[in-house]
Amino acid sequence: MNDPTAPPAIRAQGIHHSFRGKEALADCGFELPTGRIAALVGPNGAGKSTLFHLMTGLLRPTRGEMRVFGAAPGTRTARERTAFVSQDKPLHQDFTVAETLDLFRRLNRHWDAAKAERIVRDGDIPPKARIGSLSGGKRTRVALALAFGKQADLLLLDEPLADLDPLVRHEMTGLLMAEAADRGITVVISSHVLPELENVCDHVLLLQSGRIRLAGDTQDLREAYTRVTGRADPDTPDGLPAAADRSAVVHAATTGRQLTAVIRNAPGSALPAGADARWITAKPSLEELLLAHLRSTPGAPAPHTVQTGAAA
Amino acid sequence: MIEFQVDRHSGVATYLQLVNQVKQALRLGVLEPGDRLPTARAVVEATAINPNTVLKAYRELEREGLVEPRPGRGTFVTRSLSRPEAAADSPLRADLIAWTARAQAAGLGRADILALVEAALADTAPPGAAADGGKAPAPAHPAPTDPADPAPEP
Amino acid sequence: MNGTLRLAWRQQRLPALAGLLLVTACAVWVAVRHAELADIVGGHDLTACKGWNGACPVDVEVAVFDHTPGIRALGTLAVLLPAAIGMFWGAPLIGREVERGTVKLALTQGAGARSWFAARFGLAALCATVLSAAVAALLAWWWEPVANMKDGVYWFDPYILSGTGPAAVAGALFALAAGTAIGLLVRRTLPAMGLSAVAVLATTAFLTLFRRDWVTPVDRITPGMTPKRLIGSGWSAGYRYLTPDGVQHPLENCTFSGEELRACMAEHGYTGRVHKVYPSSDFWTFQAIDTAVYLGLAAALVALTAVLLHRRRGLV
Repeated sequence: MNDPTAPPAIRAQGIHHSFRGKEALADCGFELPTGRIAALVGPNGAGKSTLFHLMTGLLRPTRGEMRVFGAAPGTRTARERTAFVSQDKPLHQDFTVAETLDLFRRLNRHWDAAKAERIVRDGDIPPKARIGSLSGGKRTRVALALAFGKQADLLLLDEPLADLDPLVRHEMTGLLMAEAADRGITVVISSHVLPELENVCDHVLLLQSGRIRLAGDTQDLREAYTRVTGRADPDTPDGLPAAADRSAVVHAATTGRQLTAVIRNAPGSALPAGADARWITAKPSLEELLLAHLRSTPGAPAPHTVQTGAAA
Repeated sequence: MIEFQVDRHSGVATYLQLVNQVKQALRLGVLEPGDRLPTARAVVEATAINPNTVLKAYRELEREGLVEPRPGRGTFVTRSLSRPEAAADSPLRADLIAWTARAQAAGLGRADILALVEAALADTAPPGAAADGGKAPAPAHPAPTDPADPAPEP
Repeated sequence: MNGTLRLAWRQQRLPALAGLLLVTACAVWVAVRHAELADIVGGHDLTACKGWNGACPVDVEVAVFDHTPGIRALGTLAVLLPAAIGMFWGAPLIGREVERGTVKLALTQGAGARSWFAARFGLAALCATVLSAAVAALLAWWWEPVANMKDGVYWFDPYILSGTGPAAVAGALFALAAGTAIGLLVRRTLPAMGLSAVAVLATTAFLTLFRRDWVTPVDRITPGMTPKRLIGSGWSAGYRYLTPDGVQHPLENCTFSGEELRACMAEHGYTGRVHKVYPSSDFWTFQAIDTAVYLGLAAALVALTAVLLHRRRGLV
């Protein structure tokens, strides 16, 4: 895990994906070091599921290269180290829960049957119950049990918690974190409900309109930006002082005389270029940072990727 | 053993919440030297937070000399913060109970009593030490010792 | 049993059981009827009984009359069986997995797409082979004692030509492969089922209509007006008139009989008549054509499916 020469858990380079002439992903490039718990966030339709399908090898990129632990997704090495829970949590409706667990145990070489069974049992799901007769939340639990049973090094979870009640959501997140603590697994978990992931993730991938807007360690990203509030400059149309570097502004808005903005810091500085003593500056929260990016027009400023070494 | 509570909306960084909860437990004698802190795994399973946050909190406690990791065995409490003067059978406490009873007999309510205690603290405190008096957070989450980072931790 | 095969069996045991029930029911039915038929036919030498103009003992003629509807019914079943296999076995084989999204689950496990597809298709192909071979054999067994007799069922009837022999098995395999590929392409089970049935029936109809064009019939020449040779068990492909130079002329030139025909033939200079006939030995030629076409198409469709799966086209 700490071998610096080991390939990252995920490396995407210049990924394009078109489906029936429509571009779903464009020029996506990022690296996810092993051991990270990454939030894949973005509005609905941003391409999150497509990205997951590329990471699992269920789709092949039109252009570009995707690697999982250095291997092409879908190859045996990649498949054995990756577990995927797709957004619709597909399971065979007419199988019983016990049959499902048994069959997927046989489809994988490394399987923790005890763990998978415990997760199902903790949800009060009778093993003899048909999958089709289970509620949405219980089906999700079975789907997660299959993912955990697989003993994968990379867990890819597409909106895994959406149909769980808060208690089960907490329990499942706890299980996921325990797995991360035990085995140092890498996790990519998507959601369009960001606060759900704030305490969980230490890495973020922001996807908007098929492009990566922001990628990197959450702490490093927050430190690379400054949230600014102050009196709007009446002489400029955007309220920012004339000296401010507009290419670094992620998002700025004025309300009456007040200006609020999120601005990228100048290289090697903890403040944006042209920072003004009249500004009140603060480190933005992750949510503020992501919202600022989502509110700005896509494409400008250029996507920002913060590269970090392996997790501590 | 200590059970951590994480409040996502408190505005206090999550790792600081953990640090403060350990310190509180040390003050109250819930944790004593030689006790083992729960493993990172147990904490994250119960609280659903990132394991690195727990490790960061434990490193901070270690840096403050309150705990020490013993490889392969866990993280153990090395120092207590509890003061014998605050124990249940201490004379100071008996005095305070007697005083509180008098205050109640005089018709003071809970808020009046607390205000009185705070005022007394302000009067007797050395200069500069009572800055946080008025906005002390709930007992489970005392104000952080470091300059608080208002944004949540990862 | 490895994982993918077990999964395949778990998902296909229902159609397999249905197929087994069908074969069992047919076997019981045919066994009873065949015993009945053997009792009647057993004592006779039936060499002279073959063909339209055969001379049969009365009780054999009655038996042919009695058994023909049953043989035709089983023959219909045998002819429609591939379409049913394409619909109910082929179309959902991958189509339902894609439609319900379970393909995403199956293809992200340790066992890969190749093993998943090989196990599913292999098991289905095995079942289709056994099922269609059993029905074909039962049909052939029942039909054999009264084959090509009087008004009965002849070797060139679709019941026998398409419903028995290796062509029937090849047809079932083709139908399975067609259903599987269509399911993957259409991604929805119900339309894929309909399309599969149409594709299989259309292919069978095409072969039935056109396979004769690829085989040259035997010319049976009768000089002058002498009565033409009886056709026997042959399959007539029409008549021609012959001029002394060996050239054949269409029947439409003289569509008379008796004296008028003689006059017409003389007028055109026709000196003989030609009856184009496929002898019953051509059964195996036609079977070979059908088998080759079906197996060739099946192989192409399996290859197409494998390539689409390999390229991950249309899975999500």
